[in-house]
Amino acid sequence: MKFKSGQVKIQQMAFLIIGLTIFFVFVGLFVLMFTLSGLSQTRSELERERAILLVSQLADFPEFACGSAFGTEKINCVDFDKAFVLKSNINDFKEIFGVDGIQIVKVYPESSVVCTSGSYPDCGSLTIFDDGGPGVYTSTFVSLCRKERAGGSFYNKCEIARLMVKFK
Amino acid sequence: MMSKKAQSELVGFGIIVIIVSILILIFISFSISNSGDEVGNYETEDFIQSVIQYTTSCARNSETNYLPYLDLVRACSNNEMCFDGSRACEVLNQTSYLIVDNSWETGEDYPVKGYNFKTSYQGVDLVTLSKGSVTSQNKGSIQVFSESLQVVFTAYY
Repeated sequence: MKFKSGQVKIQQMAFLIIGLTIFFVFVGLFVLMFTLSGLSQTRSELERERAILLVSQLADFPEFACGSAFGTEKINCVDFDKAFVLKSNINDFKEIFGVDGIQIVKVYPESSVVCTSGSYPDCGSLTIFDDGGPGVYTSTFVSLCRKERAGGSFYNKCEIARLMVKFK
Repeated sequence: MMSKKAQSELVGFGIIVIIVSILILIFISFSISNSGDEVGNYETEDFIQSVIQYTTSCARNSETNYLPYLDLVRACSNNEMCFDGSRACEVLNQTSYLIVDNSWETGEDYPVKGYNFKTSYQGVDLVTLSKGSVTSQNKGSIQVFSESLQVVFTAYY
């Protein structure tokens, strides 16, 4: 009789352990599902941030960068004059950039005028090149600086723009 | 006697299983939440960098000596006037508002639900702008310059 009661208790304990294990497995699965859904969101966010970093790095290419042409050394600054000239010689430089399109769009002051040799520099959108194929533009903020003439002299004028780069 | 020993062993085993399970769950949730914090904020950093380099409409001493944003903040702090007679602080506030409002499309229909922008100099807030709603998901940057000049921007998603 004593032996049987011990057996029952052992069985009870065994069932309890099995039940607890199953419970924790379910809780673990639930937590994993919850965190994995967050992970996929973080992954896409991380990819976007990486793309923005690449755009930011492109702004520091010598073909775009202001350097010290506007007084002090500026970072994250695009020389509008350089960029406009680059547009007409883009076939010599496309390979260096390794992207599928580059655009500069002024954010402030805003302008809907497309940049051409007639409208430059009083324009708001400069397409340096676009391969016409599929792809998504990623952009970040840059300073868009140029030499502005006023009266008989020139001064440095920096505006705010988005440098947009197309990736496949 | 044998069954009691077996029972106590099973209780011990059960406790170990529970403790290990809890530790594993804590470790997993901790490691995953840490990996999420590593996402950078390049866009807001670039935005602040562009703002501080912006050439404002406030000129000092001569008609074409236009001040960059950072110098306008210092001019505002000293209650200076611009060459055209306008107050530096007025130009600073108006320029800040127009830049931020044009740069960040905000609202329920946009990814950015709201923002906060603040410029302070030597502990005094000179520009404080907010728009939209504050959410739990945000990205922000702060840039600190000499003489405790700070520009802070936070976008809420």
